[in-house]
Amino acid sequence: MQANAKTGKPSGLSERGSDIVLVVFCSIILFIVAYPLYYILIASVSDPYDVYAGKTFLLPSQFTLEGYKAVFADSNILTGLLNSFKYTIVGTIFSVVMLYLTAYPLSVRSMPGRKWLSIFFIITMYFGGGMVPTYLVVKQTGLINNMWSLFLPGGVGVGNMIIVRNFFENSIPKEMTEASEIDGASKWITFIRIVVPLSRSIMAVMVVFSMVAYWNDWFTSMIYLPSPSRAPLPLVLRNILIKSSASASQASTISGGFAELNRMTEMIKFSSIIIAAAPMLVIYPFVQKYFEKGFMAGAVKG
Amino acid sequence: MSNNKSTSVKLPKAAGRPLTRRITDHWQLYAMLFIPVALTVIYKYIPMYGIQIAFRDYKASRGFLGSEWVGLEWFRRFFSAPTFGRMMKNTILLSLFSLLWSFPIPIILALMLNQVRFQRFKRITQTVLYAPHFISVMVICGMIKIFLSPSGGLLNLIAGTSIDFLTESSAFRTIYIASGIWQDAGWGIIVYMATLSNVDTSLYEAAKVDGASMFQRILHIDVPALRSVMVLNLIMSAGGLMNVGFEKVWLLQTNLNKATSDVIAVYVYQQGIENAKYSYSTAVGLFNTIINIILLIAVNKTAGKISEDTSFI
Amino acid sequence: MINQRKYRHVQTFVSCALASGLILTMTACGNKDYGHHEKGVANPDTTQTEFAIMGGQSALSPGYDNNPVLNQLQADTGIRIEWTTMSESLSEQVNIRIAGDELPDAFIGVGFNNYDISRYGDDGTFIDLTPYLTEEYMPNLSKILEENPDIRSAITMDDGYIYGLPAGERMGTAGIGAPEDYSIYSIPQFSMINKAWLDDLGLDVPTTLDELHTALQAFKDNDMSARYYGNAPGSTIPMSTGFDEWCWGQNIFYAGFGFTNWPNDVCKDLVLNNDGTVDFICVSDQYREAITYFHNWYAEGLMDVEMFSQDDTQLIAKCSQGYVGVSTWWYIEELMGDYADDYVFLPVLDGPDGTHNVTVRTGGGINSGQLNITKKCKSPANLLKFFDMWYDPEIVMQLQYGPIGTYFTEQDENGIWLSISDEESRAKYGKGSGELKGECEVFGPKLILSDYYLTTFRMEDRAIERLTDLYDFWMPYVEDTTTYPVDCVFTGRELDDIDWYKASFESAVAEQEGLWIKNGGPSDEEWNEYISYLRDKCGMDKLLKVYQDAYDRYSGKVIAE
Repeated sequence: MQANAKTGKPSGLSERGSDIVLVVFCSIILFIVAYPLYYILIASVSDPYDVYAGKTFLLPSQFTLEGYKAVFADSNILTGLLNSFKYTIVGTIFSVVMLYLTAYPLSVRSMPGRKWLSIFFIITMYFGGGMVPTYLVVKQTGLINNMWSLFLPGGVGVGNMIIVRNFFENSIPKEMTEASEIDGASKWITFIRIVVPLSRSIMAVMVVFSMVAYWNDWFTSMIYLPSPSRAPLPLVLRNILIKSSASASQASTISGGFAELNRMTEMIKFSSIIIAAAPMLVIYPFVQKYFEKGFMAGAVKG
Repeated sequence: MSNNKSTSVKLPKAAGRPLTRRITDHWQLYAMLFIPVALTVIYKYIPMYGIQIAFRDYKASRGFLGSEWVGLEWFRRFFSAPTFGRMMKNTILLSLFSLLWSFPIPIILALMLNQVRFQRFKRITQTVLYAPHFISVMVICGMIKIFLSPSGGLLNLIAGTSIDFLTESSAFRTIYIASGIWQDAGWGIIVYMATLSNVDTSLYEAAKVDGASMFQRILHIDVPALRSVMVLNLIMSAGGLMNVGFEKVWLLQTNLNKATSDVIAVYVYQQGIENAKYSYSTAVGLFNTIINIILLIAVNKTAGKISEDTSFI
Repeated sequence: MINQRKYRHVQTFVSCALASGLILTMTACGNKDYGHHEKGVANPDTTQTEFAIMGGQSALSPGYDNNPVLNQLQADTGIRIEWTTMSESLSEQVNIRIAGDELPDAFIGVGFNNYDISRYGDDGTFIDLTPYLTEEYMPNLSKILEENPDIRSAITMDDGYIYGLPAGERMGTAGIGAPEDYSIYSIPQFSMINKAWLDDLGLDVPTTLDELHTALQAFKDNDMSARYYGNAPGSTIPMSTGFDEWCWGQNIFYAGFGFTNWPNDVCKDLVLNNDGTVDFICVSDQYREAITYFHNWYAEGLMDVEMFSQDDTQLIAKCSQGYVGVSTWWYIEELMGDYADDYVFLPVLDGPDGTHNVTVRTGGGINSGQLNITKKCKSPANLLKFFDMWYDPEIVMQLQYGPIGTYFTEQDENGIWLSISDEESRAKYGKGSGELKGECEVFGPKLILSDYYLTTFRMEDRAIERLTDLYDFWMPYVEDTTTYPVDCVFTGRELDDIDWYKASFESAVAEQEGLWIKNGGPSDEEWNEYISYLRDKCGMDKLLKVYQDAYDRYSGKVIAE
């Protein structure tokens, strides 16, 4: 982007000045946020007792890759990874489709019953039957040990749905939808041809939200997918961590070895975070461009 | 059935048509809603029969319907818990201050970041900012303990003191909120960035030509664009006021900071886990929900006055 | 054009049908084919030989299907068991099964508490086992119960019936041949002091609190961690412990004031006096004195500032760097790591009035929540034959630790089984012996009596070491081993009260204790307020009554025998 020539009399800071202030400010924030992340990275390759004694603020102490080794040594890691990919991809597609199918009708002002339907969904944000009744229903519908038990019971993510609905109402230029209807297009066509393409940025957001939610989920899989071959990555990591701390307390006190095994547990804590978060961090930049400024430029005019 | 009186758009054959005709006009929309509604009924509404255990003495062997009806007993007990007043106060204050501090920050960050013109820098910053969201609460609390440790923790090293911050009840809220901001601010900017990306760039050009500085452009173009999303977020957050999460408070709570860290969720956990008090925790959860709903309605009404096109319902 | 109304109707209809269908199936208690059970009467049915058992397992265990010991037992008793075990979310699954009326034949290793056992026994979910505790049905177990009537009373609910098989571990000094049997948990906190530092400063090992005070001060003033070990200046922490933690708390130091209120299995701060009355020590004057006294230490920087918030990992971290002069733990080596040789036991210290008193902790309670048979089981007699085998010493040791040939290697000249050492285990299996045990261990109704360690298998080395230390060094400081029995059985109403008040009571006490140590002991007004608060809001009197009544019944029972 070439620098703009200064035209007219700018009030306040100059363009250049503003840029600099902005970058400096963002850099400070970047540093504040990044340092603790860096710290976790260091901690995952250091001796935990040194970490807790405060010796690792700048550099690792007693460098060791044992935490990572312990995690990767588990044969379930690969299945966990594959399962996670599967669940995340299918789940994201499903969720985003559900969101759109729900949000669009609710955003059309002329639809009768819109308000009551909204309330119908919103109530579920606040009231729920609890885990046992939900489990029983899931069981009755035959979804135990079935991948779909991760997506269907969640239904529509109402909070996100509201955001999408709001986006449809306020960020899609009304001229476009009106023009389409005047041309005789049905609601569905308007939806597919106009609304969906114009909402790429919010769709990207919902894709990210869904991806992250499904990727990180371990609780739902623990309850509904009891068979170990179906465990997703976070569940596998969690089990490794638990096994490790079970080892620690097993050996503990009576027969000795607590400190030693506890060390392993602590290391796994840090390294499993890095392992679990890495894929999401890698993917994010690719999705980011969908919500960059100016992405939609030209869309309306065209 | 109410019908929103839309003043912005007039479709050629709008209000005034008979209801049935309007329904059939919109049949495709109802069809779209079929699956979501069905799913919601099956998996959200049907299990709701479980809420009744808030009024029963739930015993697993008797099942839901067979457990003895106790009416408002659990609520009575909850209100007469020794630290009830303190718990309510702490829960509300923690939530309120969290909201107060963490609400504006993602907005400000998004506005700033949106204006940055160096793409690579922008992308890197966003990725880094959003990374903390993935760190589990357990690790975050572990780090907090290390950073705040009186013997060798970063904060004490820099300040030259040796205070155990986790035992100072006055410090608890700050620690909780600050770490919350660190963790979630970057995540919160996502929706705002998406909304801002939909702003017509020609508006910026026009403003620049008119001589507007960056700050003025932000104020007059970006902020209005964000207004409805901001208000929506505010409403939704207010509607979750009583839901102070259990895990983080529990991990940071010590015997000495309970004056500010004693919150409802942890209390219920401590009461419930030892004895699997499903009924009790459901009752308390119900209490929380009712308060949240009252708040939701109140804030929704107020918000409606501020921003006409935004309302939760 | 499709008629939209019809759609709506269809949709509503389908939803309603689905809904009612589900509700009907769920509430309809089908004609389940249950066994026939009557309290006090043995069911003679022996047709069933396949049983479904659900329950818990160790996190390290691969499941019980291929467990050689269990499979052998099944073959020997002519039955087959289908195991459904998990180490996670067990209680949810159990509740779901019970709520959905889908009971297995038995629950194993769940750890139901007496409250649940009473309730489930009462409504028939668990069957009464008393008629089977005879020589005819369960020879091994009935013999044990005859020789140990206290075990029988521990598993009898207040309605007189027994709803589960006994389980418990009594690791005590009798197992190393001592004449008295003290549980290994009797004194959970072994206090230790850095002797090398003391020698360097020319001080003796303290025997009173005042002497300890002097020593701590000397540690601090001379910055021993830096001076002696070469650590960073100012890194010395004279004394570091946790707060009210079971083996790493500060409670042993209160002995100088007449009590040691470490966490126990009944209720914190509960003491049983010689005359059979119960009290809460946390409202006594001695307690108040102790707190006020230690506040001074805290204010002087002799006690670790972080004691109230640190976890065991942080404590180990500090100790293993050599920063700490005095601490407490289960034993020395583990906590102090490389520096362990410099530390010695710090004896129980006399208080300002020259006396000390240690309240021992109970350990090794017996419970009946590890094996419960449900009303679904058709032939409990067959199943109980299988479980009777568990009460044979040589079998239970394998269920606890691992099979002969894997965990137990050979018998010594007295016929006592020896276990694999840590190095051998690592060489042979690639993991330590503790981990090996974790993998082989079976959860369930295991009863390990103290004399098994003398007759059947050798205790782990560390355990032997600790018990020896306990007997030789620490128990001599104990004058009175009276302590509230851990096997008291409570009535339903009493359990309700405990359920309700205990958590907030203990929490309120702990909070105040911490605040006073940190900020200064209570003034008269504060002290009185505190007592009224505990009494009025936290149900202290109700709790006292419950524990007193239960004890009276318990001691009545014991005397009657």
